[in-house]
Amino acid sequence: MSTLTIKFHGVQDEILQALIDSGIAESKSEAIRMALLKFGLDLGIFESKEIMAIIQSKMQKEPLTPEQVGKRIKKAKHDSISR
Amino acid sequence: MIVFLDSSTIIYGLEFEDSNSANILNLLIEKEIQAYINEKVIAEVKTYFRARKGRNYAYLMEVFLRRNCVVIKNSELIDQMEILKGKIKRKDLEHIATVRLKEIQWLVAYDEDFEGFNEYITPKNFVKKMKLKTKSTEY
Repeated sequence: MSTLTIKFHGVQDEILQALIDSGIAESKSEAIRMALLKFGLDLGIFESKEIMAIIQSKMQKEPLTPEQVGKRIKKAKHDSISR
Repeated sequence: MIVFLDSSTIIYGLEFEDSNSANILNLLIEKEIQAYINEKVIAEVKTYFRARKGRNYAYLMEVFLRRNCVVIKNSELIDQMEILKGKIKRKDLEHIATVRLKEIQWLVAYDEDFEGFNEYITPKNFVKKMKLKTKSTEY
């Protein structure tokens, strides 16, 4: 894990605030994490197979049963109905 | 082979590496199949992963899906949804509308609510159709 203290001024700080105001990120830290992720993906650092492997390995660290997954999928489907 | 991928197939494939759904995702990445999804599938998968692991994973999943699938916009589905309204559950409306609009042969899902639709096929049966070795699970 890396811990950084970074100061943002001017337009970068405005972008950070806009990301929060628009609801895209909940905090400045989260906005920076998402931006870093996007930057890495845009540069092609990760191929689709690697993205899949990263997610699969992360899921396996906190495994759910198939029944638990099924219930969560049902909830996600209902919560995603457009009003 | 062109298919519609339901969020259940995508999510089971990421939760269980040793599953038919995971094999289908591998086929997708290897471009052995072409998959259609819609904005609602993306919303469902993002909602699931946001709750499971947070927004960064939800975002990562959106990138993954937009990179590998053809995404049909909601605006394209309005007429089809109107035809199907009342005949199927609201949560499945966009998916059946996408399948019918694009005349897709297979709707690959692990969701009993799709039973009764000719296009519905479980991940295991789809892997069988592809003449590949199946895993023991239905998903």
